[in-house]
Formats: sequence, structure tokens, C-alpha cells
Amino acid sequence: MVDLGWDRSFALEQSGDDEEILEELLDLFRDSSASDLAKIKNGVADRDSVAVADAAHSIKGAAASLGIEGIRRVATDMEKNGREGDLEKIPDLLVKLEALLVEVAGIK
Amino acid sequence: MTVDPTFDSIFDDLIDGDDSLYSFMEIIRPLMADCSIFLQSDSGNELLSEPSFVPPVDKDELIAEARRTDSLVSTVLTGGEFCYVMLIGKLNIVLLVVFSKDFAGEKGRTLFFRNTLSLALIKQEHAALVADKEQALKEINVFKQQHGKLIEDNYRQYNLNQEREKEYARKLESEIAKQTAELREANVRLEEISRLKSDFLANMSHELRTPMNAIIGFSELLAETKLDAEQADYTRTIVSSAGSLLSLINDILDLAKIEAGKMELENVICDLPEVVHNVTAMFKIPARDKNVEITCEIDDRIPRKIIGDGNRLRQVLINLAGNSMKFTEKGRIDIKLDYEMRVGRQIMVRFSVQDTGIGIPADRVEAIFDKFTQADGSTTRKFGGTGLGLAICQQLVGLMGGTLKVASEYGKGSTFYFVLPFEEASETMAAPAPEQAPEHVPAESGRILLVDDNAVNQRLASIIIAKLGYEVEVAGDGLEALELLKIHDFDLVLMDIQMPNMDGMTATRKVREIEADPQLRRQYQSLNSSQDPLPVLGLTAHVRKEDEEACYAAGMNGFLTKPIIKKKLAEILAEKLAGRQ
Amino acid sequence: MPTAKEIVGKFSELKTLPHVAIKVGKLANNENSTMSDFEEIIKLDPVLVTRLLRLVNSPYFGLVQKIESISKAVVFTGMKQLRNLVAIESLRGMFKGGVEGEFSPQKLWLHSATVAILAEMIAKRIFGQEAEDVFLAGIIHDIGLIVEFQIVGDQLREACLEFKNGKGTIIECEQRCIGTDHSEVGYLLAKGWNLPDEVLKGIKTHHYTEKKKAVSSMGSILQLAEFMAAKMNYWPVPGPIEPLPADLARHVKNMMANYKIIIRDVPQEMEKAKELYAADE
Repeated sequence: MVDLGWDRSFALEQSGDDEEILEELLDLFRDSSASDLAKIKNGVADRDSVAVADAAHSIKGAAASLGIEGIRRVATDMEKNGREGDLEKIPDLLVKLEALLVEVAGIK
Repeated sequence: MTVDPTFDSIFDDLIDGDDSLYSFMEIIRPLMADCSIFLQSDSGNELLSEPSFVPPVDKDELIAEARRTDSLVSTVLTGGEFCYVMLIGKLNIVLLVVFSKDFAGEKGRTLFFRNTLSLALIKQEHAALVADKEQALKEINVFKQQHGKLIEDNYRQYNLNQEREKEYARKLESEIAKQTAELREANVRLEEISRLKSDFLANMSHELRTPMNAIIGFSELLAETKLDAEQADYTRTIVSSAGSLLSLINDILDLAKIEAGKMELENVICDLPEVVHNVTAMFKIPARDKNVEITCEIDDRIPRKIIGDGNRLRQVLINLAGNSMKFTEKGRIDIKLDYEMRVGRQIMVRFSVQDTGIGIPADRVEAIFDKFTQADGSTTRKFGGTGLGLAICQQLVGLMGGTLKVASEYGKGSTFYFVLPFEEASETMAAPAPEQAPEHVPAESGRILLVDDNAVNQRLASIIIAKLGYEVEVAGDGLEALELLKIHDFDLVLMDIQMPNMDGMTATRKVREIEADPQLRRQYQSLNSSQDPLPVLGLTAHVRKEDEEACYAAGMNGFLTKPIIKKKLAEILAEKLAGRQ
Repeated sequence: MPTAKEIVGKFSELKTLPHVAIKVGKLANNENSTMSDFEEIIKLDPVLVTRLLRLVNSPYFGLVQKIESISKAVVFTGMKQLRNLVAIESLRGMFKGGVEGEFSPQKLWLHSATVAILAEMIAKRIFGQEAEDVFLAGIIHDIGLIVEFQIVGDQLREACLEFKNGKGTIIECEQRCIGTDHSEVGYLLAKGWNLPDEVLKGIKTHHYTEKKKAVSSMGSILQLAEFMAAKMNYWPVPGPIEPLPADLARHVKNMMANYKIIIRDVPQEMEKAKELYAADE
């Protein structure tokens, strides 16, 4: 399985060394990434690679801000494929992504 | 003509015939003390040394013989005395001497006679020599005196000349002093006039702008009230005309300022690419509407940051690009910066604005720089404009150290170009000092608009920004951002690139377009408060050169990579916000 | 019969001493003049400049260096000398004219030049005087005759005729025929030209005078020189030669040897002064 690769210290630093804010951010991440995930699935269904790419981009950015390297990498791949109009690999990547998101959901 | 005179010929009736005899007798008698002497001159004068003694001798015969033979005649007298007679040729005197009978022998007598005679003659000559010497000495004396006088006179003249020189020097000094005083006076007067001009300009500036602002302000307020179609139409016309008038006034005042020598250029660090892209961005939309392509290209070798007056440079480029826009119906407008050469510490940069517009006829090329003229009278009616723009550009370029030139072909297009020297801003230089503001605005305060579609990023960035001491508002996309710009006065925008509805690039371009239009600008709080363009920083995940260029091309002033790093953000915010009121 | 003054007055209307000469005369008397002032004035008359330089460079002045400019001439000869030379050059022009009856201005010029040379020799060698003014006086002493020639020409001719025929001294004849004589006229004219006092006196007294003249005075020297010149056939007007006054004659007798030498050197000096005699071109 893919490693989450979370740099917690980085995330904490970004949060101004505030655990509460970090928690808040993680919550926000969960919410926004869920919404983006849905967009990706829809995009695959509609064969809309642009939508896929945009949503992947969004996840990617958020993940990068919080130092979640694993998600960032997967999202980057997804975005790249989406930009190239190539939806083949997306389903596989989706699986990975979902798994990682589940992990994040479990973070305390 | 010449008559060689002799003493006798001149002074003969002055002198007794006897004189020569007397003087000779004086000489010879002491030499022949024991003898009787008889002299006769050729005129018959006679002289006897001892008148009583008359020897029994036939003088005349002897004398005649002496004259005849011109040699010594000697005879013995009856008393046994010896008698010698000789003619002295030089003096024409006959000398007769009688010796006593026991006077030496024959040889002795002859010798004595001849020698004594020689001696007497020598003595006589001697007298002449003495006289000669006397005269020579007298003449020498005279020369000495004359010489002395000449030297004295020359010395006198020397002194006079010295005096004259001194006098001249004194006069010169006083002349110089006088002229210097006059020059100083003139200088003071000129400074006075200069000061009066400044005062006038300042006054005029104020006096003109105050009512203008009132007109513009109130007509805009009027526009926002409930108006019927007709009233609204009239109001629009008023606002538009007021805007044009203000533009014209600004141009005139600028020109007046330049001509009075009161225009001062800033000497601050300026970002060339930022300036140029800014300008290009302003015209992107109008260009697209006209189906004209506008590009900008900057030579790699030109340093990013240079020392100069970015605002005035922008003004020139906007003016030139604006002209190109006006006069180009199809084709392209290219703004180019070329690296010409390095001269010492300075880099020569060639700016050119090239278009495929209607061009300028050859005989009008000179005149377009004149105030109030355009290429031909009809252009004013067709294209509008005051005709001051190029004049101002020419002056500004001149002040910056270059010369504005144009190359044009009627019907094909025009290129306006100039070369300016710049000094590269080194890394160690401080950021430009904030403008003279009554209150010094610290860089850690300001209102920032954050535009990002992702909740996490929004939150995160907001936290960071707030922590840095700034105020922050959030917009979810370009459209929202524009709305917020209208109603709030932001100092800086952080613009995410990738957003739905309107992405970052488009939004930025839009902002620049609005900034280019004085009327529109007035509707946006954020754009109204300052003449300078609103700083827009792009937030991008990618860091390739194309991305960088794309940001600038859109009109952005810089960019940050995501994820946002607090330190980097602090730096760039401080930099971009410095000096902004 | 006109007075000397009237005659001189009339003459002055016709002819004046060229203004260069007058200015130069003033300069020579002025304490504050320098050689450049001289040069300024004189160079206005380039012919005069040439003549002067020729004179100054002639053997008569015995200068070793060649003089090319007036200011240099001033340095080497002095202002007074230069003034005299300017006067001489200016006067030369007045002695024009061939033989006219009994009076020839040309002959008068030759006579005057000879008298000048002789007078200078006597003044220098016998009396040890600096002789520039004597020289000038020599040139100018008989100028009165020129004036009379111009103004009362007929009367002068009459006087000359009488003089030739032994009716008295030239002075007596002039007085009789004209009413004045050339020494008076010359004196007044020279006075009008601001010439030095010594020169003026010399002109006035160069013939027989009632009052006794010192032997070394300019008048006496001129008289003696005139006598000698006449004896050398350089007479001003043909006629019997006036005898020397007694004390002058005595002086010559006492200085016989000296005068013999002077006479011996006269041809040489006159040769040197050829430049002076040169006819007016």
C-alpha cells in the first residue's frame, strides 16, 4: 500500500504551532477533499478530463499545504493524466487516493 | 661736390704766415742752443733766433740752392763757422743753421743736424697726436654721457611700463569684479524666477485639480442616483468629458513641469519585467477586442532590477503603446527590451514599441513630436487625443538619458524607440524607500485579498497572513475577487492561478484593464486610492520558467509557490507593500 | 615792409611742420612717454619709418646692431635724437627746388647738412658737448631763407643780388630789402614748432651779434661751422664770406692743432653722412 508520508511537524509549523488550528485544518481538508473526490468520480463517469484535473489539482494543493506527501503525489499524477486527457489510469489512482483519505480521516 | 679742404685753405686769413714759423722755432731752438738758426717759409717770412747775429753769408743764394736741390747744403763761412741749410718739405720751411768752428767734426755736425731736425719734426707731430688724443678722449667722454643718458631713459621707460601694467591689472580686476557682481545679481534674479515658476505650477496644479475632482466626483455620484435614460446618458457624457479634461490637464501640467525643469525623476530600484508586463497587460483586452496581438519581449541579458524611475518609464511605455493601439487596426504591437551593451557600470537598454499601424508619412515624422500636432489634422477627429503625449514622452526620455526616435513607413507601421542607460541594482541594495508620506506606513500592515478556491488553502493562508500582522479577506474565484476589489480598498492581492469561473490570470488581466481606464478605475476602491497598479501576486504550484513568464504576462507583479512558506510570504509582502499608502 | 612775425604767419598757413614731427616733439619732452608711444605715432607714416631706419642704420650713427624697428631705434639712440631725426626728415621736403636766380633751396640743403656735420664735430671734439641739438640746429639754421623765398621771394632775390655785389653782409642786405632777416624769421618759425630753446637761440645768433657770444655757445659753433662750410664752397648764398668775430678767431688760433685734426677728418665724416645728403626721392 501507499505510504501517507505525512510530515506532521511541517503541518504544525504551517499552523503556527497551534494544535487546535492544525486540527481545524485537517477537518477542512477532510471536507474539501471529499468534495473533490466526488468531482473526480463524476468526471471519470462523464469522461470530463478537465474536471478530473481541476479537482485533482485542488486536492494536491491542499495536501501540499499540510505536508501530506503521499496524497500530494497521487493527486499530482491524477492531475497530469487529466491534463493530458488520459483517463485510463485514473481508476487505479482513485483507489489509492481513497485509501489515503481514509487514513487521514483517522488521524487524531 | 666734394672739396677736400686743408687747414690753411680754410683758415689762411686767420693765421699769420708767421705762426707756423714761430711754432717751429719754439720747438727747434732749445734743441740747438749753441747755434744761430734762421727760418724762412715759402711765402718769404723770415725768422731769426738771434736777430743781432748776422753772419757774413749770402743767405738767399744758399736758400735758393737748398730749395732747388732739396738736399742738405753745407758751406764754411769766412769766420770759419759752418753753415747748414735744408728744406723741410713737410712744412715748406728752409732751415739755416750756423755752427761755431769748433762744433764737433764733419760727421758729428751732419749727424747732429739731421737728428735734431728729425727730433723737432717728431716733436711737432707729437703736438698733433696729443691734440688727436684729446679729441678722441673728448668724444669718448661725450659717448659716455650719451650712453649714461640712454640707460637712464630706458630705465625710466621700464618703470613707466611697469606702472602701466599694474594699472592695467588693476583695471582688469575691477572689471572682473564688476562683471562677477553683475552675474551674481543675474543669478539671483534667475533663481527668483525659477522659484516663481515652481510656485505657479504648484498652485495651478492644485487650482485646476480641485474643481476637476469636484466635477468628476459629483458627476459619478449623480450617475449612481436614480436617473432616467436621458439623464443617465447626459451624465455619462459629463463623466467621460471630465475624465478627458483631467487627462489633458495632467498632460499640460506634466509638460509645464518638465519645461520649467522642475520634473524630478526617481532613482529607486525598479523591476523592469514588472513594469513592461504591467503595461502589456493593460492593453491585452483592448488589443484582443481589436484583433490585434500585443506582445512583450525582454532580452535575457538585461538585469531584472535596475535603478531608475519605474513610474515615468511606465508612463512613456503606456503612452507609446496607447498610440500604437489607437493607430493600429490589424496586426500586432510588440514591446521589446533589447540589451545593447555595457558601458562601465551602466547597461544600455533599447526600448522599442513597434506596430503594424497606419504609419507616419515621411514629411510629418519630425512634426509629431511637436506639441499639439498629430500626423495630420484629420487624425484628431478620427483618433482623438491631445497631441501632447509624444511631446511629454520625448521630454521624459530625454530626462532619463535617451532620445526618443521613430522609424515609420506610411501604410506599414511605426516603431518608436529609445536607448536608456541603467545601473544594475545589486543584491545588497535596500528596497526602495517608502514615498514621502506624512505617516510612515510600516510594511507589516495592509489589507490583503486572498483569492483561492480551496478551503484548506484559504484557511491556511489566512492564518499565516494574519499572523504576519495584515488584514485578510478571502474570495473563491476571480469574479468574486473583482467584486471585492470594488467595495474594499485592498493593498495587495494573492491570486491563485487555478480556479473555477474565472482563473487567476484572467482576473489579473481584468484588473490591469480596469486600471488602464480612468473611468472604470474610479469604480474600484482598491484601484482608486493610488496611481500605481495594484500589486497582484500569483500563487502557483508549478515553478517552471513558462509559469513565471505567464504570470508576468498576465500583469502580475510576482508569484509565490505553493505551499506557502511563512518566511517567503513575509518577505514578498513586505517588499510589495512598501511605500503603498 | 612786413615784419618777421607776419612773414612767418603767412608761411605757417602754407606749410606746417608735419604733425608727426610736432607730436614727436611733444613726446620727447614728456616724462611719461615710452618707446611704444613713439612707435605708435611714427608708424602712421610708413615712408618716414623707412627713412628714419635708413638714417639710423647708416654709418654716420656708428651703431653696431641693425635696427629694424622704431622702438629699437629709440632704445639705441634716445628720444631726443629720434625727435631730431624726425624733424630733419620732415624738413628735407622744404628744401626743394633748383637754382632760381640767385637762390637755390637745393644748395641750401647741402650747405645746411654740411654745417650740421661740422657743428657736431666741433661741439663734440672741441667742447665735449653731447651734440644732438647742435646737429638739428645746423640743419635748420638757415630755414629762414626758405621762408623768405616762399613769402617774399622777390625781395630775397634782391637782397641776394646786393649781397653778391658786396653791398654788405647777408643780414644787412636782407634787412634793407625785406625788413627782417633769416635769423629772426628762422627763430620765430622754429619757436612755433616747439623746438628746444638752445636750438632757437642758435638760429637767432648764428651771424654777427652785438652782444658777445660765448665761444662754446651754439650760436658761435654754428657761426664757425658756417664759416668753414662756406670756405669749403658750401655757401648758402654766393657772395663774400663773413669774417669770424675776434674771440672766435682767437679760439681757433689757440686750438690750431685740434682744428687741423677736425679738418683732416671732415671728408670722412661727410662720407659717412651720405645718407643725409641724399636727394629727396
